[in-house]
Amino acid sequence: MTGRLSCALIGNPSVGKSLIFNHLTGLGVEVSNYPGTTVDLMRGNVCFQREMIELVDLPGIYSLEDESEEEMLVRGILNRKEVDILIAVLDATHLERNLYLLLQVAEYKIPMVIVLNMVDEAEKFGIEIDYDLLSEKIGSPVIPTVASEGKNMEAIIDAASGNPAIPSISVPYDHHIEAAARSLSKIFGIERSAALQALVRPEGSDDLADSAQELGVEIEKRHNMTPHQIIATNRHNFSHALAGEVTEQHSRPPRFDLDTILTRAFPGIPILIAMIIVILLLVFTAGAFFEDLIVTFFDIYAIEPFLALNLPGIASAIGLSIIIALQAGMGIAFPYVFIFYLVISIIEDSGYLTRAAFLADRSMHRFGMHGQGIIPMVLGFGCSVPALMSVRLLATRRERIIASVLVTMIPCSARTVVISGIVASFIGLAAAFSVYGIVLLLVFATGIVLSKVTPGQQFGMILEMSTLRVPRPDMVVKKAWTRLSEFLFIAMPLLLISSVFLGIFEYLGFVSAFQDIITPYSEAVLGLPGFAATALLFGILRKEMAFETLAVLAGTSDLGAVLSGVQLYIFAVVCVLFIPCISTIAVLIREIGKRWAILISLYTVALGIIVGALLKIGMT
Amino acid sequence: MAYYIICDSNTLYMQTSLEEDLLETILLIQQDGNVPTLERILSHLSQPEASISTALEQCMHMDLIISGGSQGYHLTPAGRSAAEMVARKHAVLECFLKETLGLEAEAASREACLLEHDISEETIEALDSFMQSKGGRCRGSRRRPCSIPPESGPLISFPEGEPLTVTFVHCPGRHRRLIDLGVIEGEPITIRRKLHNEAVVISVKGCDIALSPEVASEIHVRRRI
Repeated sequence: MTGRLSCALIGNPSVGKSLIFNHLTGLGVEVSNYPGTTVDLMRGNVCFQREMIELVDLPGIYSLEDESEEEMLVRGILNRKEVDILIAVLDATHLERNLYLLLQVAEYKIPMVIVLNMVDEAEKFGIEIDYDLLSEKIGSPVIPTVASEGKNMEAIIDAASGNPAIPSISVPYDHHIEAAARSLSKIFGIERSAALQALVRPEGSDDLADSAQELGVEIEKRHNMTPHQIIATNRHNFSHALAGEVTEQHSRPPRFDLDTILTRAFPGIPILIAMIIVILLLVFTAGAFFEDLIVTFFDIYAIEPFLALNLPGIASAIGLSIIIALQAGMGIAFPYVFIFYLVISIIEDSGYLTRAAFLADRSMHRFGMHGQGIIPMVLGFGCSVPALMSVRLLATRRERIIASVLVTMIPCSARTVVISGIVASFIGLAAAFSVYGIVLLLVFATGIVLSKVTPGQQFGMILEMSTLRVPRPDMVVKKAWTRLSEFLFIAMPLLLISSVFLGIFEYLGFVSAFQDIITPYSEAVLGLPGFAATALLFGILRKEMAFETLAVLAGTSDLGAVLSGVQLYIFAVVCVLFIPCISTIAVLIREIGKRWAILISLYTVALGIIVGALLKIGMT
Repeated sequence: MAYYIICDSNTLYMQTSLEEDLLETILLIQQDGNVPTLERILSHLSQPEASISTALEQCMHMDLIISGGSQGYHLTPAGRSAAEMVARKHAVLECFLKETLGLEAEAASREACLLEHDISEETIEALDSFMQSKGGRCRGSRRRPCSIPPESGPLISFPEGEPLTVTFVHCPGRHRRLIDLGVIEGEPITIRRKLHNEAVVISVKGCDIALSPEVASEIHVRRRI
């Protein structure tokens, strides 16, 4: 450990940890009203009286004893005493529930400062908390704050740097549990917290786990409850008593509860559907508008001047492909990804997302997912990249994999451009909708099959409904910006590299060689000329590029003159199903690993070719 | 052996404690999913075979039990309700002794076995509501389930807004998150919203929690009084 003081924020999800972290460090960090979005650890520095204090924002958790990634992470940090001081953030409106975690954390005997956040809301609810009494009972300083308004933030650092005490509170457990914990800590020379942990989760094959297991079986026999249940019940009862002692509930005026509208089947589900349609329309129109602007901007101010330079062959090819990659990246990033993130951040911070998840739970079940799965699916219609990034909100790996596969297949706005640009304009609107129909049918079919074959257990949804509140614009923009930069960081390098390679291949004549090789196959299987296959290949960079390249290679933008209706239709279907774009693949690798990213890519390629071939057989 | 009378509306039965124990035993064996054969009954009741046979005959005579040959013995509807009453008395007494008076589980069960034959229905009901008002709760014992009062049922069978108390959660290992959020035995909860597909939102400790149907179906509750 360095000489620097290290503090960590710990607490339930959506209690305002990230907001406090933001206020204290000034560093951009995600704040979320959706449980469990802060998976990565956020670190920042606070300068206090010329001393640097390190601040860590731990992920929001409900307990320290589950198997979830976040809880294991936090447990590890506490066990290894990696931080000097814990700043436990409690939601004053839900004190009792929040104390449950606090009691567990207190067992680790790390100096602690208690931040009682949202005291303004508690007041509105008629909850009066005796801060001094709470502080006295726990044995650590208690600081009431209103993080959303930045009230009393400096007091937190003041208290943290002033040598706060180790909390003295301790839950009196059932005497069998106490006896077992005592004997475990005596025999193995471990702390009480470690002994209790061993009783709750006797894992591993060492003597400690064996003894804990034996004691646990003994206790379970006596109580007909597992040690975990007994310990949890004791903690809950203790929190209940403690919360009761320090709070006084005044009667509050009845307030209108928006949930009477939002979570009922009617009008909740129509509202949900309307919301989804509005989001999609907004992103389609606004996204397409800005994308057009950005693409044209690049055409006029980058590509044209660059071509006017008349650089020697290879330099020109590489330079041009870099510009094209930037154009593709920016063309997706700003219009679609940023707008999507803005909208989603608003919905997330308002707390509506959890209502949507609840309403969608039933339909998502058919695909082996739960309510939360609706978020990536809806996002997928805009852009696969943010959709895949939101897949991490899902609880199990099984769900994450199913969602990733389906999201990759859902026609994103870029693919919509292909459908509308080729099918709708040259064949007709009905045909364009039929392409959507085919793709969605395949998505449903894949989902149903995947829910049957994907390994892993299916757990039900247990999701805390976030409190409904008006999102803060600055937080929304900040969050959307953080996620956008994350996207640029992941996707841009790959986009650049692959674009440069394609440029060089084209320069070296590989592309035309490829075209010569592919032509017979492409004609035989899909009934498409060789240049159409090359165009499909370029779709890897950016899906609309398949459409643009097709026009360039065909030498005319009147595609109807060079290709038949059937050929255009097949081209569009294959292009939509065919391999995801490079940015999508990059995010897939990051979120679910190389193996699945490759599998998904291969699956979509195979699907595209098979469906295209079937269409060719069926239509000619 | 003390005799006492269960008054049904028109009929009058006389049962010995052994007969009551017998009915209760058959019920328990059936609840465990087994066939109540004579051997099984004998192994449950530590009484000489002769007196049990007498009691069996007496019960059959009173139309409480019918003999199903190789299928063992069965309770008639009247026999079943008598058996359930005894089992409930046992459960309530055992809870009271264990949770309120602090007796060891085994001793509580032993005492309950004796007291269950002499206590009236009114007293049992009074005792039960007394314990609920005290916030006492039944944890159940190995020998007999004592935690499921008759009005307990799966969460989804109750309407929105009704005050409920959690009686137990199936497979708590799979749903640790539920325990962390406070869905534990004896916890007061209400259903905030119930969709036709049986997904529910419950209110626990002031927080709203959305549950999938399969999770909701694992939570058993009873009405709060």
